[in-house]
Amino acid sequence: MRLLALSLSLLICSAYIVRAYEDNTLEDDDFAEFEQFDADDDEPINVKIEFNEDGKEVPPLKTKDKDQFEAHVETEDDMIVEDEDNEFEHFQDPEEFEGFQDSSTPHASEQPKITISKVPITVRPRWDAYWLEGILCCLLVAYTLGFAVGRSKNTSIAVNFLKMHKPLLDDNFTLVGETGSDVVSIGEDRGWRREAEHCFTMWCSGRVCCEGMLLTLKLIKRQDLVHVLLGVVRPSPDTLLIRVELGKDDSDPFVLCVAQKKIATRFSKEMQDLSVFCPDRRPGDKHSLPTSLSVMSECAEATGAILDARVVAALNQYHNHVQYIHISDRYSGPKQMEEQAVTKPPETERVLLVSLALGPEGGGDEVRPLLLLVFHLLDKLKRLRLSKEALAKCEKRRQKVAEAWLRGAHAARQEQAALRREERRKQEKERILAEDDPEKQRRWELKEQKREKKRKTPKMKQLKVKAM
Amino acid sequence: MQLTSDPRRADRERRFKPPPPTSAPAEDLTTDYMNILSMIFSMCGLMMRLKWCAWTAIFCSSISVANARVSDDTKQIVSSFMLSISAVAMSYLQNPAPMSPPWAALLT
Repeated sequence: MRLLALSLSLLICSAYIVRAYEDNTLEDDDFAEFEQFDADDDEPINVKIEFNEDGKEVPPLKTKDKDQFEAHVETEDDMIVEDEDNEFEHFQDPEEFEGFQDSSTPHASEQPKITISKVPITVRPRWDAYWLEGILCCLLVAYTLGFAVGRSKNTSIAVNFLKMHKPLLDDNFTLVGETGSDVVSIGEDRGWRREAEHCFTMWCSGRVCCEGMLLTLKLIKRQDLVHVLLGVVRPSPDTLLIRVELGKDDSDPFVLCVAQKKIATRFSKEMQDLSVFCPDRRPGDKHSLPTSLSVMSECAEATGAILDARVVAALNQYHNHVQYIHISDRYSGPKQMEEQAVTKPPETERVLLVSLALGPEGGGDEVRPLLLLVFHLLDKLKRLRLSKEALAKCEKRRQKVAEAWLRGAHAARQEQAALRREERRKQEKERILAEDDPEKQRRWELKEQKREKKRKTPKMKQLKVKAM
Repeated sequence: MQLTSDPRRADRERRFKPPPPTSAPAEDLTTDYMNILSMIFSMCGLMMRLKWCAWTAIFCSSISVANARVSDDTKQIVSSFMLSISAVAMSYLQNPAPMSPPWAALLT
């Protein structure tokens, strides 16, 4: 029993001893030695830094419950601080110096003044400050809207023209218009080719008396708002230009133009064929036409034949819509600039050109009789045969013009050749002058003098007389 | 004026050949002029930071686009339009202040 009690008491004691040992080993960690440094680091946080009335720092109060090591370290620090204070303390003490005026106060006032310049406050301007930009944006939007509206208006005029007059064209030509991507037409049919938002063209071919007919619908630039506003000041109509290309045997050689007075004046100056073959303009009333029209004709016989009763009646009725009718076998457009194409005559064509001013909104019923007038003129031209005398006169005039062209071309060619020669000589002279050989230069000068002398002396034929 | 017989002849059908440039009616050069003006104003707007120049360039290029023909060089027209837009954008990025009207300088 005693043994049992002893063994139990031993067991309990050993258990306590083992637990106590285990606790000791846990506390003995590797970072224990740093704990006191941590405590040092933490200490200044607890220390209140106080300032006295002069603004000098008062050393913190020391806590007495520190271990020896800490106390030692702190005393060392304090000593250093005290040493520094002590070292320069006499500078602070005004009694240390004699006759020294206390300059601490003025010194403080002498500190450089920092002037803060006024930086402009970058506040975004309000939206109503952008009123000018707003107006400009509105104008741009208006222009875009005008573009869309004008474009659709012009397209509808072109489509309307097709609706009204395509049957007539189909009756006269085997080929009318074209198909494709950029074509304005009714459904899948052939139609206008869009050249611009205000310009449409249509090629018709396959008819007697002509090779083909190009219709150009030149409408007002309704898609351009600026042009529309200009049109209010100076109105201009929609126009239909008809260009009929005649075959070689489709007409006799003559030039005739019936045009509005203003246009006739301009044409007689600008157009190559009219200025050459039709120098004089006659008022329309001489040919039973309205006074607003002028007639420029090369051959009176042709004028009389073309301007028959039906044509005169049609012109009298629709003279407001007819801008000009120009028949020419030597059409080459406006005159060329003088420096161009002097050496060779311009290419000429046999054409009938008609320009019609369409009524408001792209024309209406007046177009059909005028188109019929064009077809009538084509038939007339085919049938017309000038008399021998008139034909001979016309041919002679053309021959003269051709000769004049040749002479002009020859003179121009000679002039150009002379210019080229002069240029070559100048280059040669420069080359010789650039060389260092004086002998060569002398020889060249002699040669030049000889050539000049030869050029100036009149050419004479030498007669060799044989000695008897 | 009625036509009696059928004038159509299939054998006389010809393909379209554009008329020679010398005999063609005077070409409308509005597009080209406006294109050049637009480029000049755009460059002025970009270089001299003139906002009204940049805006004028936009209007010029708009007129150029509206008057352009199908046969005209689309690239050139588009590039001048983009240049004018970039002139406006750049002038407002550099100085977002609103544009002063031209008569403001006269009044002050």
